[in-house]
Amino acid sequence: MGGLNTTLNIGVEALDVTQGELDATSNNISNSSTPGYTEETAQISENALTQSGGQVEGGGVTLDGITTTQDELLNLQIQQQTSLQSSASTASGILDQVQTYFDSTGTDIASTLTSFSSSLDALSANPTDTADQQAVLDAGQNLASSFNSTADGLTSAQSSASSEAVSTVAQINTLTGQIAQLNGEIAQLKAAGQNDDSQQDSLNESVLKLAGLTGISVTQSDGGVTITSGNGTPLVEGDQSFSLSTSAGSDGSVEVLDANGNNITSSITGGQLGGALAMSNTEIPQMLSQLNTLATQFAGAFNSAQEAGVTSSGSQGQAFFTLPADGANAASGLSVALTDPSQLAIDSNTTSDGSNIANLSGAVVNALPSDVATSSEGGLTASTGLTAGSVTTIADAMTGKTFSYTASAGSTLADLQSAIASAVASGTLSAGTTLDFNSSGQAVISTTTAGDTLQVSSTDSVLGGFNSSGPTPANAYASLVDAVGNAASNASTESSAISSNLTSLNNQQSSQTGVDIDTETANLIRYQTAYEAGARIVSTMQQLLQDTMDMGGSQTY
Amino acid sequence: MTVLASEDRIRRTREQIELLCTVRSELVSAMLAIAQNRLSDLEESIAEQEAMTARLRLVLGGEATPGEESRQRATGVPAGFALQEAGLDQGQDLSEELWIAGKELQQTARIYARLLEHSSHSAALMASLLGSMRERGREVSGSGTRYQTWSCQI
Repeated sequence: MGGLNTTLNIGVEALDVTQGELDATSNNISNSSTPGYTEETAQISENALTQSGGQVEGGGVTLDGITTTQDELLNLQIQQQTSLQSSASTASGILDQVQTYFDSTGTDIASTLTSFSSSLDALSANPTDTADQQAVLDAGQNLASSFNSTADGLTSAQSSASSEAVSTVAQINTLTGQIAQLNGEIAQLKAAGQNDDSQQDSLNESVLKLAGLTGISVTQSDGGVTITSGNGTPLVEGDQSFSLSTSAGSDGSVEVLDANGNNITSSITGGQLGGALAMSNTEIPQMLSQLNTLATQFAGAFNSAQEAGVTSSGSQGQAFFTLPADGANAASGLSVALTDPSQLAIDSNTTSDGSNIANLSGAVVNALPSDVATSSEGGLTASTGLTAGSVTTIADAMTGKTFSYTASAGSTLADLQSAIASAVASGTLSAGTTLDFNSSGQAVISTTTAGDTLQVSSTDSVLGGFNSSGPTPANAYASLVDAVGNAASNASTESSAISSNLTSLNNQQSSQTGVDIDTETANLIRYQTAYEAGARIVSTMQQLLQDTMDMGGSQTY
Repeated sequence: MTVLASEDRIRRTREQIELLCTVRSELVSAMLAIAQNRLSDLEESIAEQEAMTARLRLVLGGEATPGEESRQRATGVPAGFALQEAGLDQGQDLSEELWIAGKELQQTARIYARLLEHSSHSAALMASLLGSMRERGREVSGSGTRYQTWSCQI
């Protein structure tokens, strides 16, 4: 049995440990709702056994310190998923806004286009009716307004996305500065042998926030964390941070520059910045481009039909729509040029027979895009010759698959049709796809339900001259709406899926490092019960001993 | 007092000394359990202490014979500390040994009591923290929201 000093030491050490436990538990409870907080644990170690009077007894314990536990791999997964989720969420939010401009409200392009077509049908029944002529002008004005408001809406959404990208870069710079500072503090604390748990928690929280802003790569080292962007551009090294900046590109896009002024926009993926840049620089401009093409081709075709006819007074028809000189503003600047219903070129010749109205209606139906063909699934039906050496490239945006056809001398559209059919059969292209050629002769495929019509539309010379009964303008517009809807749906689905993963990962992390109040409470109650019982016993024991010693001492010694 | 009775007294005194040492050892074990944060060990030790305290009560105060009880009442000297009066050689040594064991147990018990007191205080602090947390959660979601801080609760 050790002496009283040993006993006293054990008691003092026990007090230290209890104090350490209290500190750790207090922190755990107080911070149970603090983002990024990692549960603290009092680390104790047993002292060597002591020998006294031939007996061996415990040497007490020592409080080594308060420590936290981190799962770096789990943290990394959470950072990556946070980055992806943030990107998808940002894109989804912007696309939701974009979608509202394509909703069927009665004043949307699809509705006003239908109304415009209906007004021409009504006019064809009464070509000289002034009210019907005025109705065509009014419907044309409504259609132009729909193009204007839709384009303005897309431009506004693009502007919002650009602003978000710029403000996100500012947030990134603030966070990288904070992380660099924390790196410095951690290095100093480590050098001094002091506890850096609080700083580590703050660091982890800041890194996670940064991952939500942009895709990053994180490397742990003694000096804290080193953070780079997707292409390896350093953002934080030790206690030094490297700021990003933004500038406007020549095409109006947002460019992100590294600390040396290099344009790293294309390498930025993930996070709020990645999502905002994709919307601002790619997705919305593509939609605007499609809308402008639609406006240009529709107005151009209708103007041609109008200019080919004559008015009821025998004057040569003049352009119905006014199109801005810059095609990039076609949709936003579209307006009706005619000011009087009598200016409608309803006749094909000087005879007032309303014969040109059919051409005007036909222009509405066939105008968009300019050279349009439809065929049943599996191929094309025309056989106009192709230009030797011309290359047709089809890229499937959904699957990433591409199809390329190089025409040789004598190649016909039937050859292209056959090649496409073979590609569909081999799975290179999916059956039931819609092929929309852009002005570069490349096609972007959006998958539709199998069995749908295979549409091929082209504005370039590869399929030049190929012209048959085409889709209606409403269908062409519907294709754009589908593209917007699909993009929004994909972003939303992706965001939800990643969010689910993220929740799972966060739960996993919480179970490892979080604070379980219920467990703390249950243990506390047990401790309290034990302490109370111990106190009652020792009180009884002390009273018993005191009485006995008092009696014995007064008589014997 | 017969020799037989004296020998019995010596045997019982030795038993008392041994019990006092064992109880003290148990208190040290309890302190170690607290220090090592081993709740189940502490609970076991407390159960053991309970049994030992009952035994201690019997050995130190409740085992005297009717004759000894009347003598104790008359002189105030408990059985365990009056061995020299029995005229035995070992009496003085055993009495001192018993006295020392009792004193050591008393001091250990005081340290243990202080530890329990402090630990109870710690537990009360933690209970306050938990209470504040639960109270805060309830009140924020209910009507008549009342905010409070940790320091207020503590």
